[in-house]
Formats: sequence, structure tokens, C-alpha cells
Amino acid sequence: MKKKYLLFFFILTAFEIVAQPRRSIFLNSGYTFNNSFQINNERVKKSRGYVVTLGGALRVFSVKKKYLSFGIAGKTIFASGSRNGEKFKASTLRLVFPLRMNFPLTEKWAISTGFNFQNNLDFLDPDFRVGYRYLLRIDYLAEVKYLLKNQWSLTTSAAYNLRDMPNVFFLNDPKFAILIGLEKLFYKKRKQRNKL
Amino acid sequence: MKNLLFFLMLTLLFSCSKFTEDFQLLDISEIDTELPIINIEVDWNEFNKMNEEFEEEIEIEGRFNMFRNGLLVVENEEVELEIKGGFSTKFSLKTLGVKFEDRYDNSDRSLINPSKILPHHSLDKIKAIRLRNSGNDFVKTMMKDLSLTQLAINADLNLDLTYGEPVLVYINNDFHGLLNLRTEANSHGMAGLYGVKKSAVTLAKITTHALIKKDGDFGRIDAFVQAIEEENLNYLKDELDVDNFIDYMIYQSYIANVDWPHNNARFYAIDQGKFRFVLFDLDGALRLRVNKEPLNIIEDKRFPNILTDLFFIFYKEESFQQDFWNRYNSLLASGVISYDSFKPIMDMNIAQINSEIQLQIGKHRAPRTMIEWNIELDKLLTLFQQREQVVYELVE
Repeated sequence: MKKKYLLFFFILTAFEIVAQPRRSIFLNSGYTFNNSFQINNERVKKSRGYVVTLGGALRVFSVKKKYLSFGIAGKTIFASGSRNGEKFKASTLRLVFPLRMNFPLTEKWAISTGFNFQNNLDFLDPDFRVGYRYLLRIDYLAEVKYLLKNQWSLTTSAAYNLRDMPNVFFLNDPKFAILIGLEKLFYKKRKQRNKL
Repeated sequence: MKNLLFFLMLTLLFSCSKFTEDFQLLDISEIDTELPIINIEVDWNEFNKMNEEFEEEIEIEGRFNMFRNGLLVVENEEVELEIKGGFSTKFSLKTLGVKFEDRYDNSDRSLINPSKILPHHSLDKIKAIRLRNSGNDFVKTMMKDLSLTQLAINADLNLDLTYGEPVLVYINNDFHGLLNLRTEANSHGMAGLYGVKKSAVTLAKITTHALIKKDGDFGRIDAFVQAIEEENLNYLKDELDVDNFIDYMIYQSYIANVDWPHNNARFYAIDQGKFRFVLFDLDGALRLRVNKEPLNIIEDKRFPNILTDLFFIFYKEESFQQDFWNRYNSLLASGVISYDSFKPIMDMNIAQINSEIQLQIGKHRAPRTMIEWNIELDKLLTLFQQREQVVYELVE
């Protein structure tokens, strides 16, 4: 039941994002890969891929210059590998909810760390139910940001899966990822009120 | 920003994955199979109509031939064919019920030849079989039901169940699909297992929607159901084979069958013997509820049903509770239903159809690719391992 509430929380928070003044959009892409592992007694080789993530985030809480952001993103993974001499490719689409704590270091540099929560199964998979043990994937995320100009930042990040899950879930969405990307911050300008 | 949000919500709806393979599937002419081959001769028009209008329960006639190791072992038997199954009838390859004109003499094991038969069962006379598409497991492993049933057989549980093996099926010499030849779990099947006439069998089935009285003494079924409703334990003790009931409930709860107990449950009696439950259609096992306690699986709050009620009427008695958990513990301790016992069965079944599954992929795209088949096999083995661990911890 707790997972059900968590999912509702994510969805409602996603709707909240559009109504808030401090938000950002981001685009990440990069290389994703697995260590060697076995599927049904055979070793899977060259399990790797290319990943693209596009999404938005909202500043939900801040203390001094540090702030917590929560977002929503679409993630596409183009993975490949071979098992028992049989080469395969997989295209996968997933919904991701990134939760990040951001720490500005200087005017230009910042780091952030947090977690990506994402669904792990296809929407039409009969096992796609809230109670399913492996429905949710959690990736740890560490990111470095460099402010370019006009609220545009260049980002470099690394992510890896934290949950203990069967290897089959990493075939089409590998365990590790190294990403670079761009992020654009938006601030709603406050109206000046004329004092009489 | 609204557009972005719309795109992201769409992402959830279309959250999907697609596998493709750079791999040449084997053709029927390239496979040197050791599986039995069945060829059924039918009128094409009748067969197609039966397939297309599967909800109409159309029966057609055919001639049944079977080859083992290249030898014709069943020749030109007259049969009646009918599409069977529930949800799985929507798949391109449907389950076929095959009823012989007369009881088939299988004493030479020509029609069905399992590696082991429980000592209280006989497969010498067979009235009907099922060429099964593995139900909801059709697009997945094609062997979940077979493998879990084989585990129960190897464990020598006090159960009545089905016997099966994979076969290649042809219709009028055209390759039709890879199916599982399986004995029936109905009155024909139970009569065959115990070498009695079908008229001696009283049988009822529990489905999601209703209790269906199928054959025999309906008054006795009504009285049994009424006793459950009235919680008349003394009557139920007289009518139910409790040892069979305990093994049945243990096994189904152990494999965490989510398409049970509200569905896929049957009880039967031969003449005035006690009611026993039949283990069949285990495709819903080891899916969603592998981390649940055995009693939670049996309780099944989603769909009230008489099997759950029956169990908890007995479970109120301390002596039954002790018998139930003692048996659970002894089965776990003996290792007969463990992962170590299940893995060799799976390995053998995988080796049996490792080439032939390519024909299924080529013709029915189910599973869609070899890698997806291997994913599903791996998932099944992993879930079994986890279930074993969960049950060990919970039962201890």
C-alpha cells in the first residue's frame, strides 16, 4: 500500500511543477553499461547502450543557497548485447522522477546528488501493478553543473541502480550510466508595485 | 511547459520496450527434433471456423496421428476437437481439446509418456487430452505449468494432477505450433487416473464468477457447499480427504499462484469416496505475490470463494493448524520442493524445446524473440529462488 501512496505522491507532485515559479528543464544523454552477468545460465556480453533523458524539475525546498528539486522526465534507452552468440537490441521508454539536493559551490559551479525513481516494467506488461516487487527502480545520481550564461548550465552526471533486482531488468536498461547534458533554469519575474 | 508535461505523461502511458535480434531463427526443415510430433487431419474450413469463432464452443472431427522418434505410434485415431481455455483463447495459437472416440489404450505409453507417475495414478486408459498453449504463459516461458507440476510429481505429494510433455503439432501436415500435450483435469482425467468410468466421478469447479457443478451427484456437491456456508466442520471432515487438502493448499500457497484459489480449482470424488482437489493450470504462479505469506495467498481478499472459506473453517482447529505447519516444515526441510529440485526440471525442459521454441517465435511471435524467452525463463527461476527464501523465513 505504501508504494501506491508513493506513486500518487509522484504524480501529484508532477502536476504541481507547472504551477510553480522556480523550475528548470533538462536534457541528458550518455553511455550506459553493465558488468558481465548471466541470463538463464549464459553470459551476456557487451551489454551497453545509449540513453537520452528529457524532463523538468521544480525547486521544492531551499535552505540558504542549497535546494531540493523534484522532477519528472522521459527516458529512452537504446541498449544492445549478445547472449550465447545471439545479438540483440532493445529500445525502451521509461518515466523517471528525479529527486535531487543541489549544493552551489561558487557562482559558476554546483554539485547535486539524489535519486532517480522510475518504473521498471512496460505499461502493458501484465505484471505492471503497484504491488509488483520490481515495479520501481531506484538509481543513485551524482551531478556536477557549470553555469554557462542566461541560466543555461552544462551538466555531467553518473548514475547507478541501487536496488537488488534480477539481472534481466538490466538488459534493456543497464545498471550504470555516464551522462552529459544541458539545463535551463526559469525564474518568474516579480511584478513591481508602484507605491503611492 | 504544458506541452512538456503532456509529453511526459504520455511517456508513462507508452512506457514500453521492444527487443530485436540479429539472429536467424531455425526453420522447421533445419530442426532435428526429439519431441513427439502430432499431425491432425481435419477439414480446413471447419478448423478455421472453430478457431475464429472460438467462443461458440464448436466441435469438429479429425484424425489423430502421432510420431515418436520418427515412428508412427498413434495411427489414424478418430477424435473430436474443440478450442479450450479462457483468456488464452485470444492468442494466435489456441489450446485444443482432443477427445478420442474410444478410450485410448496408453499402456505402452505411446500417447503420453511422463518420466514419473505418482503411485496412486494410472495413465493406461485416456479418453481425452489437451494440446495446451500454456495459458497465460504462452508469450513467456511455455513451461511454467509443466515444470511446476513435474516438481509436485517428483515430490510425491498426495495430489491429483495432470501429466504432460511438449509436442510439435501439425494440422494437415502444416506446422501449427509448439504445444504441451497434457492429460485433462476434468472428470475424464480423474476417471482415467483412477481407472474408473466417468459416470463414477462427481466434480465441481471453482471459477472467478461461480461454482460450476460439472458431473456426477450434484446433490452431494450442494450439501458440501452448504456445509462450508454453515461451517459444519464435522460434516466436512467426513466428506473431505484432509491429507490431500493439506498438500494441495501447501503447494498452491508455496508457488504463490495468483490465479487461485478463486479460480482454477476443482474438487471431485469417485463414487462415495471423499472429495479431493486437483492441481492444474499453474500459469499464474510465481508472478506478483512472491513475498506474501502462505496464509495471505490462501486468504485472497480480492475474490471471496468457498475454497478460502473451507480452509479457514479447518484452520480454526488447532490440530489442523499443527498438521498443516508440520507438513509445510517437513516438505521444506526435505528439499523436495526446493529450488535445487526445481532447477534440474527447468534445465531439462529448456533443453527439450531450446531449438523448437524458434519455430514458435517464427510462426506466432510468442515469445517475440529468443532473448525475451530467456528473460522470462530467468525471471521464473529467480522468482522461484526468492519465493523459497521468503517461505522459509515466514514458515520458520
